[in-house]
Amino acid sequence: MAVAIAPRTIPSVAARQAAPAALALRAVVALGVAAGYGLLGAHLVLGLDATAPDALDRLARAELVWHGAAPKLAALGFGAPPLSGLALVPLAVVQALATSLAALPIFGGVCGAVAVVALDRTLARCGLRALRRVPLVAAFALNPLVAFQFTTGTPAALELALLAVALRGLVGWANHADPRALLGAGAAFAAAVLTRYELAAWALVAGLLVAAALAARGAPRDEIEGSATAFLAPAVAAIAVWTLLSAVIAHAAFGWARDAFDAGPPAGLLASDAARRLGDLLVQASPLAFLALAALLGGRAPRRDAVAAGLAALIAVGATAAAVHAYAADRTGPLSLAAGPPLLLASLAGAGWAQRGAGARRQLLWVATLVLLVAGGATAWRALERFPYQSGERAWARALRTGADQRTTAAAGAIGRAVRATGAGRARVLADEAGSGAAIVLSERPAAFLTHAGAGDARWRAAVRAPAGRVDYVLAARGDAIDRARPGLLDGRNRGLLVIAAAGPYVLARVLR
Amino acid sequence: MQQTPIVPEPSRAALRRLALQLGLEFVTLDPARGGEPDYVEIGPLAASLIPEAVCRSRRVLAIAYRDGVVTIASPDPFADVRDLTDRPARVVATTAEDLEAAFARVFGGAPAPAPAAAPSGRLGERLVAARAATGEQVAVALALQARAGGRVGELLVHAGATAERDVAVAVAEQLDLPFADADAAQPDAETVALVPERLARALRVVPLAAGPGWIEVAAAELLSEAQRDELASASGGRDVRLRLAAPRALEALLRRVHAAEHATLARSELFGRFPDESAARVLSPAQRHAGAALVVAAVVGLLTEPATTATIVLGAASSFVVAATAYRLALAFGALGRGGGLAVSPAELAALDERRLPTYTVLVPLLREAAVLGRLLAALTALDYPRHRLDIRLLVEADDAETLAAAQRADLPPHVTLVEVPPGAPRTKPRALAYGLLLARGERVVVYDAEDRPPPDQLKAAVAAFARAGARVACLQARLAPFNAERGLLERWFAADYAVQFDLLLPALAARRLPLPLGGTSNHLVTERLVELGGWDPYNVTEDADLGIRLHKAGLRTAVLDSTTLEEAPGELGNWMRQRSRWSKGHVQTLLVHLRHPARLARRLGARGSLAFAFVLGGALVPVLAAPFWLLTTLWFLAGPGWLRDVFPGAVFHLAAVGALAGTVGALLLAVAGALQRGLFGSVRHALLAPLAWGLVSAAAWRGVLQLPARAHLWEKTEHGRDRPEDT
Repeated sequence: MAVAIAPRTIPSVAARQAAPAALALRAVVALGVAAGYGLLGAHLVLGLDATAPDALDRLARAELVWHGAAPKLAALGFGAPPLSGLALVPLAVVQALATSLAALPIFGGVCGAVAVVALDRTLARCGLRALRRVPLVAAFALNPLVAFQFTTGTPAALELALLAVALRGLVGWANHADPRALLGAGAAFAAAVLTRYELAAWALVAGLLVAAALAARGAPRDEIEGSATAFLAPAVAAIAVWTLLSAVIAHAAFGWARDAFDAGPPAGLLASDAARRLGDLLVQASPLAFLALAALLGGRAPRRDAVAAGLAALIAVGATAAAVHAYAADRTGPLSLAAGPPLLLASLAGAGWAQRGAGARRQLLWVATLVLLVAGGATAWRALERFPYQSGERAWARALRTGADQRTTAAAGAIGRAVRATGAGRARVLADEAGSGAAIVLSERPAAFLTHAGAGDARWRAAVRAPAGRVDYVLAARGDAIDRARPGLLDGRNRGLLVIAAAGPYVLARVLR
Repeated sequence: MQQTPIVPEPSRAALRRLALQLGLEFVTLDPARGGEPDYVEIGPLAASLIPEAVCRSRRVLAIAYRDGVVTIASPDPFADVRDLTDRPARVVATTAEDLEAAFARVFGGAPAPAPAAAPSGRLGERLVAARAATGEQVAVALALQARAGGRVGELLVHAGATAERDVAVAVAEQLDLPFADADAAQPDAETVALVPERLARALRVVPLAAGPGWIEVAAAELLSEAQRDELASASGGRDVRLRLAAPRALEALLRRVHAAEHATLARSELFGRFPDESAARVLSPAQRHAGAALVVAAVVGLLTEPATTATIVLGAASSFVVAATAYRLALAFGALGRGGGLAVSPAELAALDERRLPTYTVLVPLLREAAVLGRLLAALTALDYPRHRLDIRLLVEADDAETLAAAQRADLPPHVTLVEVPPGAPRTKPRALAYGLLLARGERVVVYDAEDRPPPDQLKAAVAAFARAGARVACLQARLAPFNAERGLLERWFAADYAVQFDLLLPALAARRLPLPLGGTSNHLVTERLVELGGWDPYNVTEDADLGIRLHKAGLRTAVLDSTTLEEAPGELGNWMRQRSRWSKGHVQTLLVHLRHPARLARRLGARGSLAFAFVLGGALVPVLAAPFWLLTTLWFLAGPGWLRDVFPGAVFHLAAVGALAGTVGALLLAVAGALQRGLFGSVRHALLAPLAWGLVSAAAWRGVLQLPARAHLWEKTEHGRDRPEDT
């Protein structure tokens, strides 16, 4: 008789209930971290104008959802991973939060709080007591690369938060075999995939980790298959849903995958370049990865710790995937500094797991971890200035060091004011939100723009081809779709379009009839 | 007739020793022995707590009343005194001589000498004397009584040693009452009408004859003074004369003389008392008007502004689907990996005092279930509960000759009663339950289906859980899971679905003290509360879900019992569709009933309760609403966007897609979580096919909803007994 039995892995309720005092302490820590990142972010982003372009792009899309010419969720677009834009949508409902950019440090602060608390819990589940956890978590939280994400509200901030939750679940499951942790980790990985598609490779490796860990424990085949399937189901569902929505709404089922390889200009990367850049990235952004890999593989392999091997694989595959992605797409984006913090996070979780049963070497491993975390902070600080593939980090570091206004949005602000001055009506300014997001936000007139996602592909392309009669103005940014479709526009050499304002990479042109 | 006492009257010293061994206090009541350490003076107030006639006939005397506990002295250390007083009571041992002398002092007069030729007052001795039982059987019964309580007579009946009639005759003799042969009684309607049915049912009496100034009633128990007064008052001040009858025969007589009233009560008790809580009417007048206005508005909107109207309707529906799915996912995730529910340990079960267990009524509605009757009886027989405290009722429709015949052939034990449910509309399970409840004897009542296999300790676990749960918990829902969970795809889906419902959602709702829709079986109820609420709604085809909401509205709570009843998952598509349709129809019925007064409902349920009501019970609408979403998106894929886009704008497609995907992904994740929670690892991969199930669920939901206008009360039965022998 095939009678269902309760999973043998479910622990007693009492064992898993956190004390109210501990929950309250976690809440206080989370609030403190959120406030810390938020206030520092407000100072840097709002006060010293040190912003991250990716963050502005997502904020623009979120603002268009509520306040665009055609308010709708699809304004988020189907090229970039949707979740970081979607997560900003609730904040963007108050337009002032978007146009003042205050939404970004708030968003970053919340993500930072989630990430820090989740990391702390991960290390706790690795058996590290509070006195040992706090220095490690603090060193991670104060790492300049990490702090950059959480203070400026970049898409990577959400990615880090989700990854931290996923790792917490994974380690929690590995420790207590708790099905909630397993499914929670799966759901967090699924969400993380929708912040960066490359993380699908991480999810896959984590799924294999689950299967291997159960096999090592002698679990029956059904349990191995069922657990791994349950873990991966959310990620598969997330990708399937995104594909289906892309098909139904954007009429390009796999457009998102294509866009992941087309973002940015070709970089002419050779395989050796990609490997060297990956090495640079690891050394400067996450030197801890080397220690974690060595500790996980060297220390645990004799005991057949599949979780240790799996975490090592996660770090290795995470790093390799970035290089492979960069090489395959011939773009430098995947190897930018933003790829460093997730590797650092995974490395710290791996190092924590390695300490779990390190015995006499535990103290040594902990000291080495802390030293490398601190050293990694120093190398990261240098990388902010010198690493070639960046997205706003240099200005942020300068702002922090000098306290000077970085004017990262000066050009976008100027062009935004120019748009405002035209008094253009609803959907009368043609723009590609992928390149002009900052200008759209700072114009404070999002409804004036005819955007790609807002208008739909056909209407928007028709307007790009023949703007006369369809729009009154065209806003182009260097390298965006309009610039590519209408070469010469940025130099004022496009027939039918009269440039009326130019600032930085942007031009605003009036359509001549 | 020469009588031989089978248990000799023990001497004072022997009785003192026996009491000591049994952990009882021994007391001396004789003032002449006032110097002895165990001498107790009888409290006059305490002595008046039990009527003299009862004291003399039962050979007991209340001697003290302290701290709310009545101390009752008896020469019988095994005396069951629970029915003598409503207050908590304890027994102390004393000698027969002391007791008789105490009677004389307290009630006056010399102690009445026992008739020379009559057997002693003990029932066992009388039964042995009448050759209705052997001395050994009585001794066994006495031993059982010491462990499990109960009366010797009923213990002998349940042990199969004695016929119920013989016991009734002996008890009547013992109490010096005439015996009533209820099987042969034919009271005329006028006499029966002298006592209102409700009172007759409450006191379990049937008027047999009446004259000017008197009425003779048959009863299965000695009536208290208050009950006699009540009867006298109801019958126009007549003097009440009592005849004692065998309990089962009396119940049959009660059912026979009140057949028409019982049939009416089963159908209309709830409607008569709380018409707004009954699904007898599908829509209230206000709902009809509001519905008509909505339909008119939709039609006008579609004719004049089709795109806008479709966008508004689909937008609202899509938002609801997303919100309900998110709510259910959050609930399920919160419960995942947690035990959930009230768990009763084996040590707690072992510590239960069987003498203090409440009588438990088990209602089992049966329709065309002859094939599974044997297995059902085996499962019910396996229940670990004192037989004399079990009141199992097989509720068989009177025109279901096959099941009736099978039940009659089965030679049912005394604690199982075959109840023929009179024909009538609506022919539903809750009507049978309502009928069965009318004469239920239990302080607790539980419903099982024909194919159910409850774990043997479930009733005891429920008793322990009730004791721990607090007075406001009026219902315990045990978990349900199919025993054929891994047989086929439909069964696997069903198993995952049940795991979501009973292992995740219901424990989560119960833990948050929110209203929860009960499952169809294994819901254990406090009978008194159930009766106060009007019982099950015979017109609601998901009477279980409805009852869960009514309990919460009445300020009562439902908890989940961590005990799993196994039942059969339907494995044939038609059977599966019929069951799903009924569930959908019933949930919509329940929604409509409770939304007749939305503001009142919101006040009673509170904000959190209203949300739970909307998203859990209202979640039944999700598959209904998701169907058009799927239809539109499928059409889009098959027909291409060209002509469709001319009819429906992009926004309509987008909303439809979001609704369809949210519903489907939600169903998928819930199914995975459910399978994981119950350890159905082999079913996880099948849970990934939930989108296929989703289509079937939508079809079934629409089928059920479309039945509402014309066949709202049609009960589409789920066929049981289709599983293969190896699954059993």
